[in-house]
Amino acid sequence: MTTATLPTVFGDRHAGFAGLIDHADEQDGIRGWILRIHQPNRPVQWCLMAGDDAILSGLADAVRQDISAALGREARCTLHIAWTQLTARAFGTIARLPPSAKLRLILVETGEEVQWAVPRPTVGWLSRAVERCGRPEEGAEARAIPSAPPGLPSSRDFESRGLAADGRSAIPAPPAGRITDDAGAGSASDLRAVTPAGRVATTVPASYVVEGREGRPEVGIAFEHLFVVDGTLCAAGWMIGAETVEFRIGEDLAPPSLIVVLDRPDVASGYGIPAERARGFVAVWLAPRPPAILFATAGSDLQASLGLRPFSDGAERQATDLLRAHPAFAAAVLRGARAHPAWLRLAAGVLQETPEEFKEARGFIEQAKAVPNIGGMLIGWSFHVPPCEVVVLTDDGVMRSLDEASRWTRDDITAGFGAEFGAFTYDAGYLVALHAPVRATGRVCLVAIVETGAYVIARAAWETAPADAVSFARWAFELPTPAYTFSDRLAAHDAPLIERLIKRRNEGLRYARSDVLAFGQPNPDPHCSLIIPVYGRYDFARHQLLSFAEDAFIRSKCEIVYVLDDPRLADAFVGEADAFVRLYDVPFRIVVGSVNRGFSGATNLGARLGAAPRLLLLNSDVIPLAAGWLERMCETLDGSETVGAVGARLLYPNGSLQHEGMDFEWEPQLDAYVNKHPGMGYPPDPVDCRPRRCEAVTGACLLIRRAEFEAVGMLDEEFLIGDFEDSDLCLKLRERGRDIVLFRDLVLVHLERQSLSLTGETLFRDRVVRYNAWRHQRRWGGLIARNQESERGSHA
Amino acid sequence: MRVLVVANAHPDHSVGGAEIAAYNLFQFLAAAPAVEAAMFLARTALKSIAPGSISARRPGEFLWRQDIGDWFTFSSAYPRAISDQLRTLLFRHRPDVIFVHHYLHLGIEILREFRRTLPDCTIIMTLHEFGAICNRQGQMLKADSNRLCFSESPEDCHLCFPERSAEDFWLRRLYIQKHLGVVDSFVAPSHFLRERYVAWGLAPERIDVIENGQPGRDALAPPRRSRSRGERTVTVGFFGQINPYKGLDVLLAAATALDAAVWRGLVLEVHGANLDEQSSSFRVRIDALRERLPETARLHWGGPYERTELAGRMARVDCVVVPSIWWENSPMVIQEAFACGKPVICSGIGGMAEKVRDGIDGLHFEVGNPLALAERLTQLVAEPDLLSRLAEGIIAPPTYAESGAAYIALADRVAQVRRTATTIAALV
Repeated sequence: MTTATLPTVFGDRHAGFAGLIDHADEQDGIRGWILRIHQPNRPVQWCLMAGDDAILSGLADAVRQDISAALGREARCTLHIAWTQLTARAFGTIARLPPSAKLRLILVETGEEVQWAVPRPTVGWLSRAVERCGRPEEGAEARAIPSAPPGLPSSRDFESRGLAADGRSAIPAPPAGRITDDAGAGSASDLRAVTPAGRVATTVPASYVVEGREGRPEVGIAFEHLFVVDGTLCAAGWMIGAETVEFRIGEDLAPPSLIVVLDRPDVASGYGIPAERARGFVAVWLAPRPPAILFATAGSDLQASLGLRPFSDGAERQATDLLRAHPAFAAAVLRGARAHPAWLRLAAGVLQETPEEFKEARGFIEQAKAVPNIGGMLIGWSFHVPPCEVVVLTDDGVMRSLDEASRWTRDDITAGFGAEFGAFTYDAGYLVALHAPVRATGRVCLVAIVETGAYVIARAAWETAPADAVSFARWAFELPTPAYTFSDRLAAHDAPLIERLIKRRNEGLRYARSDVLAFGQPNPDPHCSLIIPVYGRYDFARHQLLSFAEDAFIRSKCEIVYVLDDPRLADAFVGEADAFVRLYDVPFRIVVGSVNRGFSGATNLGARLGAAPRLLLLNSDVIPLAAGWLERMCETLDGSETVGAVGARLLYPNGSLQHEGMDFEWEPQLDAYVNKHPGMGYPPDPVDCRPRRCEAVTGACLLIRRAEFEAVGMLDEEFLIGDFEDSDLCLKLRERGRDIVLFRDLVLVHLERQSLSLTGETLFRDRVVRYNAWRHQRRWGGLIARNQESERGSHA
Repeated sequence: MRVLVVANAHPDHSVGGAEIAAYNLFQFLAAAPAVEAAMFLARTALKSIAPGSISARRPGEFLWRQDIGDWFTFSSAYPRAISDQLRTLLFRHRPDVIFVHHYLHLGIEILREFRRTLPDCTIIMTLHEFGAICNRQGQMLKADSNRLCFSESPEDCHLCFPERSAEDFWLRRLYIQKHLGVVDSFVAPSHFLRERYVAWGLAPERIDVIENGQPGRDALAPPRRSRSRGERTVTVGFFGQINPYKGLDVLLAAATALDAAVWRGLVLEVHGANLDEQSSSFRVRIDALRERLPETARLHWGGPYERTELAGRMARVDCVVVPSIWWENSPMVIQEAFACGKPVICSGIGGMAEKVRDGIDGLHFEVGNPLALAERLTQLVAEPDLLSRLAEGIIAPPTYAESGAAYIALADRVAQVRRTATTIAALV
């Protein structure tokens, strides 16, 4: 038999333990110490084992002077196992085991075994010791009270003194002797003779039953589970003679976030009492609380109170068992713990299909697509009979109620189920998005929640949704919800996903490669950089360069940066570029991006490369008709500090007006202000050569100071496919008090197709506009409304 | 004066009207006392010459391997050769005047290159057709129906070519006009063509009308066939390319409609090339029309001819028919007929109606209308004096020398204007 003389040390000084068992006495029990090295005043939980069976568990929580003196700090580390602590169940265990089995003492938190400085006792030794001290009565649990050995603090002392001294874990016990005489069930003295009230148990299951005359249980409380899972506390147990249970932490009432009261026929039969006198409970506290002793009290006049410290080992398994055993508890969790994915995940794991007779809800998932780490979207049909509720739940614990879904009436469902379910089948179509990360390899289900349980009414495996924002939108926007509810749907479902996809794409784009190719001798000190994104067609560049060739200001004082935002065209464009510079004698650069960045991204990329203090944002399909326009725009920008941006009149090729400043107009269909081009399509008014102020100008031709462009964060890159970036830019400038001005006598031709008007040529285009309008409105709705208000005020 | 004549082809390899006119002008200029040095640059497709290269043909004559990369905008397939080989040639020859006869096959960029490299030279460009205006090879016929097109616009052009947007057509026009913008003066061989270009956007004062020259009347016209052989037969000839636009089918359809009595006094001769190259539907149509001719019809199918054979063949006819269904500019066949003293029956539109005066040196008929043409043919047979009266009304077309002299006069005038402008600019 080996014995240790030095303490056992586990782990390091930051997260380790030390301990030694230095006394084992047939009368006195087992003594020693277990210390949490870095927090000596935080008691450590132990478990006494015989072979692989746990016999007893407890906290080593009394102050030990010698260790405290050695550490210079108060150390709550006294281990004392008195035989009186042993329960009937422990005796049963001991009886089963061979007498030669050795006892072991392990740390519950780590599973490490503490060494013995004395010969290690065996089960036989323990049996003899217990026989000598007297066994507890059969059938009772936790009635044994540890008796304080001489020289150690009494149990009463350690509860009141030891626990009060520590702010973290010390919980004063509730006042003792709360059992009153007037319960009518028996005399107080009889009851006291059984056991004092308000005990703190050290292990589960733990019960405290107050017996009346003839030993009949009058009131009782028991913990069968008490554990912490994902920062939440869960307790389960039963009570006798009470309909409710009251919880306290310290002296404070601690009502649980959710509680389910159940029948417990097993408890009733065990105690020989009528079934209605025994009730089970499962309760959860969702608000984060420090580990503490939880006291549960059953009964009102005659009370039974029991305290217990929560355990954390095996918590998930315990939670799963509870959820599986009590469908009503699973239902309560799904209703009450929506912000707690860990609970939802556990619940998702145990849910069953609907029972045969279940008539509260029907549903189906037609499409379920998810982008890993972003979220997912489902479409299908469901209906339910209130108060039943239907939710979407993933197996990783993401949940959303279908009450929040975008809904519409489906004739097929009404026809198929209307006879049986009537008006509940209206609005059966649903579209719902989950805005939390989901595993795309996982599964998702529709769950019907009723008071008594929660049942899966439909299941589906996630399919992978396009991870690119535009492709995702192309898929999602085609999902057939009614057009008139699209704006609401967008805000509640699609938009948060698309926003995240766009942000993620933009993060990726920061690392995308781009090459810069110079054609001709670049201007060393340019006055103005023309930033021209090219997408889809590069042949416009030929026409622009031909025009620039005839403009001395542009040729000699500016630099031209084409940003090829269409990698497919790289070879073709670059191949012709050399001929362009030879034929037109206008130097320029081409930035070849390796990916498509969109109008904003491409413009910003070009702007970062341009060297001049002024930037002209120019569309590749804007063709100047005469020389000198840019020089005048630059003069105007330079002429006044208050001018933030300068634009020009743009015409369609047929001579009708395309742009001379933008207004914001309320569009009820989109529930947003949108950009309007007043006079578009009409013959332009006669020109006057003074610059005039306007609400905003198009980004197709916009001059701005580089410093200011950078100060306002350049063009917004988070709109879905180019749109609204220009008005967004202008509003950013106006927010800084700048004016937006426009020349009506500077005329360029914009080849923008007239057919691509706001109404859109396809459903997809239309919905892209709605998305962008929604985003623009969220950001600028207030400023636009205020501007228009003050405009009206000044007119009045 | 140092001159450069640029043509879309060399007559050694191709016999289109434009290259013949250009080459004749070059030969005239090379011999003209006012000209110090003349150079002829013709585009070629000869495989023996590397793409973009310029190669000597004979003294003063050069071939340039060039082609079109984009027919929509007449952009060169070898643009580097413009800023390279062509630029070198311009620097070496340093012409004072460049007579450009086309941009087809050459690339319209050559115009800006002339101006860029030789800022002071006079650039005179002869417009031979409507290619700049109409993307349908300049036919100005509606794409689907072959209806006549009276004026272009980006929207109308888009209707003929739905695959190109109206904006594309706007850009095309702007692009071509910007290149034509460097030209000092244009020459139109007909007033009709001039007016179409003015309507399209060229300033009227920048376009002169100079008729293409012809070899002198003596050179072309053999002794006139005597009409006193006793028979009352009128011989009507068709000359030139055979393609859907030249209206041979109109002529054959008219022939099927003629009375047997008319055929007793009428012989038709068709001297045309390239029928084999036409679409099968067109060939089938021509064959079907020939099948439908009555037994009594006298049709002589002369087939292709060499240029040198033309005078001989034309001498055998009494009059020439030009039934084109498109506008024509200044058809060479009309000039040739007049040089041979033959009246012309033609469609009453465009360049044909301008060159042939109805009832004076020829007859007009409604374009594309076989019955109207049949009426004219019947009239010729029925009125024995008509042909000789019309023949007498013919005014000989200008000779190469006359035409060339007009070109030199125009160049002088333009140079004068440029000098004046420069002087004024210096004063201001």
